[in-house]
Amino acid sequence: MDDEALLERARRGDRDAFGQLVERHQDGLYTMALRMLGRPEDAADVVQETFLRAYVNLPRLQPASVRGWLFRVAVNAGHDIQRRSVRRPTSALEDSEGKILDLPDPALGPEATVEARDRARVVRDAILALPIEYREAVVLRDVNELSYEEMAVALRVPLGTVKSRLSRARAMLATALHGSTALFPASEGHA
Amino acid sequence: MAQHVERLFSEAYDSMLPAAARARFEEHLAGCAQCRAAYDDYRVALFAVAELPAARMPVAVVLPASPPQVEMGAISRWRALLAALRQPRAMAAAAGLAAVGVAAVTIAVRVNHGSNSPTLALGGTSSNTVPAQLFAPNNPNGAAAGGAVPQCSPSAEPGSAPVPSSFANSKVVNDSSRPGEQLVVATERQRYGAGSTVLVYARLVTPHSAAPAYLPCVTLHGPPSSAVSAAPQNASADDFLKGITASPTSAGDVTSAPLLTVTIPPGTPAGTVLHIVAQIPVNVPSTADSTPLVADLTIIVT
Repeated sequence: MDDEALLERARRGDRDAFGQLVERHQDGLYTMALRMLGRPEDAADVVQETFLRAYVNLPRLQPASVRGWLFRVAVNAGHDIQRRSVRRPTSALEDSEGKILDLPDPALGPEATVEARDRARVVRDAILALPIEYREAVVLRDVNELSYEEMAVALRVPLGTVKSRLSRARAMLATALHGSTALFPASEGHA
Repeated sequence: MAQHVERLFSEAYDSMLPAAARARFEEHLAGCAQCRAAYDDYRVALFAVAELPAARMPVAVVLPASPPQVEMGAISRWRALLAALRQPRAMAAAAGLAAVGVAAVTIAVRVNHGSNSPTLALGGTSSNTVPAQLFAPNNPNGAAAGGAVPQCSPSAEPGSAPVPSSFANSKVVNDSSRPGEQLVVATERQRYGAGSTVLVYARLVTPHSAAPAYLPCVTLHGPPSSAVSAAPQNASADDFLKGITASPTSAGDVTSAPLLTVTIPPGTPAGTVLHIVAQIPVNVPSTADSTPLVADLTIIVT
């Protein structure tokens, strides 16, 4: 059953249908929020808040794309959580000197090799260092694999803006990672 | 020149270039080592992003026990109330509650531990009596004594009586910024007939041995003004709420649990939804607690 059919059943009071939507999307939303915010606890809050908002708004929900809409709610929830997080001295991502923190990543299991961990850390930090609107674009597309149309729903911008923002975000990311030894080991003779 | 095709990298990477543009792009790459190398780097970077491991949601998503409401006004007002309660200061929360125009009965909760038990008096009383106070912006006579805004000051509890096993309708709220803490509000069931008495359990459990539990502030919220037609006997929403009384009580084997009773007025229409909201403000129990906790439990009149 597709998302739209599940949503319709949930709107008619089928709690299990809504549960299936949660089951289907919670990990993707959590991964998005983790890459966007960097803190596992904030990411879990985003997911909880997303489904709570979706549940409360069920009676009036008629989105063209359930997935895009859920990501839109999650993006907004991420903004809210970042704004009201007063416990941090500067931001979720930096220490008091503005240095990117080496945060533990629950997605990196013990089986990951040292090289894979290094590569993931470098990429993760490069994403976190992007301005938020570019971070959102690259995470939604290259981490969560949303279509351009779903991104337009999630980010509430026209399709043309999706393309230009994504293009800019990827260029910034590629520039940041250019020459990184974690991605381009010297032994491979990368020019 | 590299800048001639760099702007196409993103759509080329996604295979979104129209056929003719794609052909020109590849033709340019074939003859331009600089662009070819730049595109190779670009793809390596984005492959590395795509390779980042997927993460799993580490905790279960908790949903409200009650079904979503169809009445739009009630939802928006309710959300505005919750937003107000989430403001960092209790005073701001109370003021926000007034601002959103939600009529609410403010209930004082007292522990049933004996004459020396601590008293939480949301309405500002410190006596042994526990009045239900109407806190409504359009009804100054029913506002808290002296017109003062009620403050929420949860009190520490010496023991942590658990939720009685017979209380099947419960709402549990955690927050990752408050490790080991759990706010619980519970009733024996979700549906009650008009005229019946509702026994309410509310407590914050903490991991601190010195203060293992706190009594939260508890408020009861009835139908919003827009739902006056649902109130009995053509009464206004405020009158309807005045008819609800609350008092601390004990109940057989659960005398050690923090309980209060709420009496639903006879004649209340079936389907009326009441919200019991337990709240722990910021800085309680620790000054490091910068996030308030709000647990909203729904009961439905049958």
